[in-house]
Amino acid sequence: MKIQDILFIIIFLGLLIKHKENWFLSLGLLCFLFAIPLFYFWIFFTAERLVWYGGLLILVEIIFKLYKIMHEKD
Amino acid sequence: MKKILLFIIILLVFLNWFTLFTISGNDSPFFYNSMYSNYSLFPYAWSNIFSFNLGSFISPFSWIIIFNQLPILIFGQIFHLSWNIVERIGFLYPFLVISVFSSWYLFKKIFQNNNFAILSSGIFLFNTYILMVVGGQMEVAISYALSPLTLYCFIKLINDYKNKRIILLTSLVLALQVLIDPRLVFIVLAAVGLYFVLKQLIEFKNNKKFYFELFISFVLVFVIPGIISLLLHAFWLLPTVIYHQNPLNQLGSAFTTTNAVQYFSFAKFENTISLLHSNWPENIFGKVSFMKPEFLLLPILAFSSLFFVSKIKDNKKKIYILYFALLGLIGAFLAKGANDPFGGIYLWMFDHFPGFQMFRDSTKWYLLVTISYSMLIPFAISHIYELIKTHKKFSIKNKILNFQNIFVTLVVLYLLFLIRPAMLGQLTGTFKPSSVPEDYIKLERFLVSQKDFSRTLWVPTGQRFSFYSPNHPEIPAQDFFNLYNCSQLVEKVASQNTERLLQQSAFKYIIVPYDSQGEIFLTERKYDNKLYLKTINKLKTVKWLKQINGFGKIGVFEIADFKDHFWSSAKGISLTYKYVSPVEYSVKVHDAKKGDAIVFVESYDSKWVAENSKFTAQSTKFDNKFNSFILSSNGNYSIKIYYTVQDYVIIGLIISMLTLVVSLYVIILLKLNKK
Repeated sequence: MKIQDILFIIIFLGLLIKHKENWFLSLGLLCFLFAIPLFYFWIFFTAERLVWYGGLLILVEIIFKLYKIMHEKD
Repeated sequence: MKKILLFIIILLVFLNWFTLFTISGNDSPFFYNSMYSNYSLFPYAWSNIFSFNLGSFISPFSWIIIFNQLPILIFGQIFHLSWNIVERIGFLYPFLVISVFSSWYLFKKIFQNNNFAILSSGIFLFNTYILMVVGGQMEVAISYALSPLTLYCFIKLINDYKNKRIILLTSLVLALQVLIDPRLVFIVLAAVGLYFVLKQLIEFKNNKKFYFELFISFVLVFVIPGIISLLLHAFWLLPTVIYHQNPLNQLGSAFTTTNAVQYFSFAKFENTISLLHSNWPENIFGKVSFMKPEFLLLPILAFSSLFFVSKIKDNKKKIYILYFALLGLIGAFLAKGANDPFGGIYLWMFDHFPGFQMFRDSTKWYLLVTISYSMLIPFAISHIYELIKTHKKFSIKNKILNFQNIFVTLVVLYLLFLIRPAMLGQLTGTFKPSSVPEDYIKLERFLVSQKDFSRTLWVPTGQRFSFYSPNHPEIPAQDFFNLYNCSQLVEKVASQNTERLLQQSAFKYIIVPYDSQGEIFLTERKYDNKLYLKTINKLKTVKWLKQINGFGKIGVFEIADFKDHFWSSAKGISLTYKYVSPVEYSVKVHDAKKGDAIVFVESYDSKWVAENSKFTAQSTKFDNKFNSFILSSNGNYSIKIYYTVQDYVIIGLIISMLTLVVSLYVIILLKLNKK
């Protein structure tokens, strides 16, 4: 496990505890955005990781939103 | 205005498609007018031209027949148009029309938004994945084009699963797409399955009525259309199932092992989520380009649509947005194949999930990303547009020069910037004009003039302009000898004991192609003229080969004393035969004696029989390779050589036709009753 992963897990757990709407999504999109200059400057490892994290954060946001819709129905 | 802009971009990107130059790239074939007669709409269980060897059972691949051969039949055989025109009218233009329509229609119907639907078409048609595919794989491209339409039919059916007309229409659209490329149908069905699961999750109630309805909806959405599609495809499925042939087994380990999946996993997650094809823009197999970071704005645009979910009042639309976002993520995850993160999941699914073995090349899953982004990006753009429009800070009364229009213009310019190699004419394959070398035209005329049956062995493999027919099948030497190293292959061909094998296999000519496209003689993915010269010079030294001049850079070598399609080593017997169809020959024997054997020079298959009114003889193996039949009566008589699996093709065809007629009749009836 690399330093990037540890940082990500800490932030991810923090977000899970806070759990505010669109935070996962915002951070996910920011991950993609920050990956752009890193890819440009050939810092591939961190850039790749950022894209993975972005994908995961967006997935979690989708799951939360789905859960919310299911809950609203009740 | 929007439509005109789309049309101009289509003209710019697909400029070569609107000329009359020869188009031939990657997997796209080329046909001489003399080859049209090789094709018919009637499916046959055996072929000696759609095979890499001396003929084989082809029903497992016969689904492609109607799609491939209908344009050739109509425009080629009936109207006698050249292949340059047939290809355009039959394949290329339908791809453009269906692509634009189906994505536009899906967006319009799902989001009831007409203003940005054309942007959906733009994203679906001008993304790096499909621009690489249309470089030469037209079956995949047209199936891709149909996919949003099939998906829409299923979404409509899931929302209204008791509507009989929609059930039948969906079944027909599904069957139509299977005709073109079943692999993409599998992907569309995976997308349908995801929508079905999401819908059931949202509507979940823990009571008996819900479970009953769930069962009924599953049957009506999946089972009934599945059965109707299977019946419509009985003409190839029935013989395949009865003959117990797994089409993938015929293709060998290069298609079915996880090693192959790992080898073919070219795209990384950052490529797939950015909708960036890993070969963009060179389209050279295996040559992976560096990540182009500007593409990462695409997922940002697409997934920003999720910000608007809470603002939408309609629950159905909310589910659609979440569904397409999930579809994009799943598509990106699968399209990267065995690469990290969690590449093991793909390998596990390849080994264990039924049907997944079709996806040795994981990039087919890009389809889900393209459908997802072609829905999400226009949706996000339309909402950002409205947001800017209604925001006081950005309020400008000018109808044209305002912030919302500037935003949309910038997005369009960004999307065009991504595909700039296409706009600048830098793409290869079908995007580049080519011409048929005169040498190949001479060779085609020469082979057409040879009336007797003989095969041609192409060393190492055939060229895209090479001629073939049932009378002169083209066999790639690398497949015939199962040797894929060019130097080893040439040594094998030139060896002394190869002469007898080639004579007995009815080869009259060995041909070394002129590699006009630079795609056969390759070293490190680049054309290597030395390899070509080495091949041709080696064959010149072979004593049992006689070079025939007059074909320029194509090396044509004749083999003496080659055998005919039917022959016998028995004394006194003489044979004449007539080709009736790929599965039937009529043979006349003279002065035959009981126990004489006749050899039929096609790959051995026990389902070939020789029959007449007096006897039926099943094929037995000759020389471990060919069919042979032992005659059981003396004298002069005719026999029919027949491939018996064809009987199941005919039964299947009857089932397919009946299903089609009944389905259409019921659809019309239901439509009339509705009125």
